Amino acid sequence: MGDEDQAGEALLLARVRAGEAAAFDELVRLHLGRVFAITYRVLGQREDAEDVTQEVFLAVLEKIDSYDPARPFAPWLHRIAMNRAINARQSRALRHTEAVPDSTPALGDEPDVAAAKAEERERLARAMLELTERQQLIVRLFDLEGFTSVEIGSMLGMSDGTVRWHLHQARERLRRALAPIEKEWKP
Amino acid sequence: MNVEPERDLHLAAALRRLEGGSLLTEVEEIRIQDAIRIRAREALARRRRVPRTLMDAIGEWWKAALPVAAAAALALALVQPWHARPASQEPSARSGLALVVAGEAAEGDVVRAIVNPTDDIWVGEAGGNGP
Repeated sequence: MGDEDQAGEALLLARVRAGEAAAFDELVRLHLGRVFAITYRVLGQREDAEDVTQEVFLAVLEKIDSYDPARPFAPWLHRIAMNRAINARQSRALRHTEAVPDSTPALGDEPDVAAAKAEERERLARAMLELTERQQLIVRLFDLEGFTSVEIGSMLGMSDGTVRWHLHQARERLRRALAPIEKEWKP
Repeated sequence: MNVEPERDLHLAAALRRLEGGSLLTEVEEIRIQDAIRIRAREALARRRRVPRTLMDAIGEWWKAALPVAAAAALALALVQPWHARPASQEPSARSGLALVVAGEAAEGDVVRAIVNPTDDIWVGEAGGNGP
């Protein structure tokens, strides 16, 4: 983030502190996607993630006086999102968090391709369950959402080196699970 | 392991097929923003009401406390004369026994001082050893 962006962000946050509704709207618009990505990857349910995302921004409004303006805002916000989502996951009697796949076999898929896709899903799902929850989350945030190891470390309270080590372990296992079908079908 | 690993696009695609994407549709985005806006209304209004500086806060507190302090002072001033007595009517600050010990008591006072059980606390005041 450049100096100009940082100054703009500081000004926006000062306006939010003063209770300006338009500034708060802008803050939400800027960060909504990333916050939702975090809550969704922790909770695995869009509805639950929506609820927690709302709570995150309301928490920001309550806690903004404790935010240090000398530091970047996004990591602070993402940490709140991560903590809220983990708490929600622990405290709510969540429905079984089986994510809805967005890839029911496409109508045009050949039968063998459809079968390969189904097998891939099954193998991957099984391999994911063999990972620790932390490793699952790190893989999702890194490979699916594009967060860096430093950003993930900041959210989870661990060093970026530890994040990369978990990522390496998780990927090894997932790649091993997918290897046999890669020869049959490559997307 | 100090270098940031490259993204594994193949794995990412497979995971996305399994777990779905996290991109919000326009409808979802608007719905969430509206819900947040409604729920945040009160907190934002509270922020607009909160005094901005410590001096403002002290000023607010002082404005509220001043009438209470004035009323308390007035009440005290009105009640005080009922309890006040002229200095000549006040009992002597020094007790009988203290006068005896100091050698300033009249003869009859010595006996009164000795039989008065409350006087022992004043012995120390006259220069003797306390209890």
